Amino acid sequence: MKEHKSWFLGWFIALFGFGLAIIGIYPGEEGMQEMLNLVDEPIFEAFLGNFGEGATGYSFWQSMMSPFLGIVFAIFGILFGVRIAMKSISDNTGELINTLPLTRSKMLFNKIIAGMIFGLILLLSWAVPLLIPINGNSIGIEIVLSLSWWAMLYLLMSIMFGILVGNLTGSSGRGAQVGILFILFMFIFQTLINYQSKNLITTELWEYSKNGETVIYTLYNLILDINLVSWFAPGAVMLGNDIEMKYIWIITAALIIFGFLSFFTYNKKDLIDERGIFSRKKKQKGVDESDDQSHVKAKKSVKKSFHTFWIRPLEKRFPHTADMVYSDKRALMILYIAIIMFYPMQLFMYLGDTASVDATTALGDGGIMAIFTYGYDMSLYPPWVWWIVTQAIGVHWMLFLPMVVRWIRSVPVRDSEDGTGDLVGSLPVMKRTVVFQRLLGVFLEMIWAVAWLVIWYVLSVLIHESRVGPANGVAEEVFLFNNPLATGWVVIAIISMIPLYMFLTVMGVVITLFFKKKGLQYAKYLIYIIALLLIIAFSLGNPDLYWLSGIMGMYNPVGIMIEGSFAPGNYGVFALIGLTIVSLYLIRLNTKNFTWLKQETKEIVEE
Amino acid sequence: MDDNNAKNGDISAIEITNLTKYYGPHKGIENISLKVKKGTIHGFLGPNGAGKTTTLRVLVGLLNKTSGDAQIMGIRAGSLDSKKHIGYLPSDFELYKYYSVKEYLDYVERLRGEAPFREELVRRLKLDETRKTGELSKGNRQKVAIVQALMHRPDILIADEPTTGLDPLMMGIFDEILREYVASGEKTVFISSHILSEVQATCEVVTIIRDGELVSSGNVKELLASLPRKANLKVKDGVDGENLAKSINASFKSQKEDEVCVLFEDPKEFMKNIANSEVVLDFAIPPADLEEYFMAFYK
Repeated sequence: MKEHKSWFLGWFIALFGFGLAIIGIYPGEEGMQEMLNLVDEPIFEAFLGNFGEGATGYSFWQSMMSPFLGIVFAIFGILFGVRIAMKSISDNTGELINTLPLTRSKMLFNKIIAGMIFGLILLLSWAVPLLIPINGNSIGIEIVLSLSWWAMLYLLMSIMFGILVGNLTGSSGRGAQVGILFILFMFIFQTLINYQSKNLITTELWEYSKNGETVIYTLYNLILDINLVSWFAPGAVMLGNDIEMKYIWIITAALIIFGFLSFFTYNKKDLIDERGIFSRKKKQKGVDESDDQSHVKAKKSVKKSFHTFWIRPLEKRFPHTADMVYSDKRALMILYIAIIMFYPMQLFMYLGDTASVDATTALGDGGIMAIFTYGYDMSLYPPWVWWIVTQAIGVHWMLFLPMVVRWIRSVPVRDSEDGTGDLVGSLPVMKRTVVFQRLLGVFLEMIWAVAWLVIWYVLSVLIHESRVGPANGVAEEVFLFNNPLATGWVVIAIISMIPLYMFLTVMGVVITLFFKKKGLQYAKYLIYIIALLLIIAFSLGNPDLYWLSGIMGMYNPVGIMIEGSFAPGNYGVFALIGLTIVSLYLIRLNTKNFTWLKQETKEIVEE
Repeated sequence: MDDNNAKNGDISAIEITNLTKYYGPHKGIENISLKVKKGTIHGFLGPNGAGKTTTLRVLVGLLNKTSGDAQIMGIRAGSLDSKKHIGYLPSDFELYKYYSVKEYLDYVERLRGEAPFREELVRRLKLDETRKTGELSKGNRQKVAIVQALMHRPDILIADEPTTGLDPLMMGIFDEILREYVASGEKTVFISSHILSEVQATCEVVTIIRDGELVSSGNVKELLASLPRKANLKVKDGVDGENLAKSINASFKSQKEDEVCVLFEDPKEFMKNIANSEVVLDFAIPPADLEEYFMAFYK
């Protein structure tokens, strides 16, 4: 358990903090009344299910905040499963531990027990706030208990699945990436299918297929049922409905299958190499295993990847810039997939059905939606604009904040933490050169990602608008060909995120360098706080408190695109550029704190 | 410094004067002074935790000294200019796992600016450049480290336990490479190790440290010659080894049944005494061993 303690702490703080924030911004029973009046709208059935007896404003509020819980618990469980299976191999501690007189099954079982304890603590961090009566009734102990044992079962199943993924992929890094991508894909697929299943091309066709029990209807439900992310959906239970027992049976069956497979694969695979269970073992000729490797297919070069090839012309002049981009190859791949998920896929989901559009608009900009709409009253704008904002433009922080957290480690401390500094540090390179060239790499990666955001946005809008057209209630002013200026401002809004994320990265690097050993920790906490302030500021729904959004609020893409100006955010984009330049100067002053060596032997070396 | 050395024609490849390094309150090394002559293979010995790696890391600029002075070819150690003269082979390291061997060496070559010796080293060490560095065994990673340290033909190779992970065949190849490397008299090797037999076979000069402090330094042959020699005597049954040693003017070391081990200073006198002894049936004098010398500092 000690091994995973600090990793788990981040999850606990995040989930507990989120729970408290939700309680904090609860508008009260009176404030919930307006939303309760909308419960007959079909869009709510699509997302939340029917209201049961005993549903209160508070339970409705919590249920609205809960759609992502299935993903959160799934990701936690899978990542933890990957960690307990693979971490000891990836960090080379396994060679000692795995030779102790214990069966592998027993070792794995003990680790799973630890996982369940962590899961229980995580669960409490979520469940306890549900019981706290704030401005009304609490969810109720009975509902919380039934949700809790459902959640524990789901967590255990996710952990088993994670162990299996870890065994198949062979390393904690690969396993984590596969796990996260899988869940993201399942979530998007679920949302797509769920929404589509209620809103086919014409409502009439859907009604016919539903009542007639057609193959399409059956297929849609089957696809929903086999989607792992949909097996834990506490919203409906919070609204007073019973748990659907079929999900309990599905989770139990999946738990047994994943459990068997995870133990089986764990017993079969090698425990000292980062090699999946199906990897070919290398043939060895005598002692020297480098003889005749012609039968081993060379793995694809990091330089030939679609996500990194563009940096090759700069290799000679800026070797550390190129190296930075190559090291980020997998992260850029995941970012690209996430961009695809948010931009073309989400934008494509919009069908222009008037009834749905009205109901969607009715959700407006309140509560959690305000985080994406930056507090703008979207009912004043065409529904299509609301859709673009909430599904693509306003979700930029979901894409880039994880990258920022990665970059503020990669630039200053990657070598000292990974042990690669002993070799590279002895080369005739200046630390300042290394740091600034790596920051240039960050900048170029941002340009690459933002370019794809723009390309996918324009393509998605072109394709979609050519299909939907004004007849379906989409206002003409957002058509690409009719109003290139409006589209131009959307593109400018997208591009303007570069100063924000460059500043966050550069600021994080300054903090990491300045505070030396604890610097990276402080920088990460600061990023989390900055993100939380954005959520809190807009969720409160009080324009007088929007200033709380702080640094994140200085970039207001919704304001930029809607008002066609940089004034929203008080020209914050330009301030961010200025702050970035100042921070770069501070980095220059602190590059002497850059070290090549591992944490315990870190010292400052003057050049 | 450069002018004086040039004038004297006596440039030290490495010169360390009262070098001290503390990690907070903990001593790493203290008042280490040594000179490594150009064109030599200089061994740096000590047990685990003696301060060898600390000294080497200060020389290559990975650690900052607490006090004292360290110079590489007359240039302050750790400076950018000094790094141009060295190749460093650490004992504990990782490679960037997203590169193949070739890509990693390309990266290092780009930073060095040249690598005339690269192809030959890769060939002699039988390194597969198509492999991903993350897939390599410890031995193969060591080979990559050897190539990146030597491929630009540095003036000085600084190596920390360089043969760790290499099989005997590769160790032999590495020794050969080192010897060829210094044969011109222009290149220097400063090598830390605790494999004494290897140091004895390879190095001309050796420095020994213990607990962060220098205990001895000198030419290997001279050091060995200064040691009392060991002799293994086969004696008659019942002979007391200690009394025998006194009678032949030697120091008693150990006895196992009819085999007695003694130490002597003067070979001529010893041989004469052995010849006159009635209880010694046979004797053997093994070659002088650096291990004996080394262990003398740890009794």
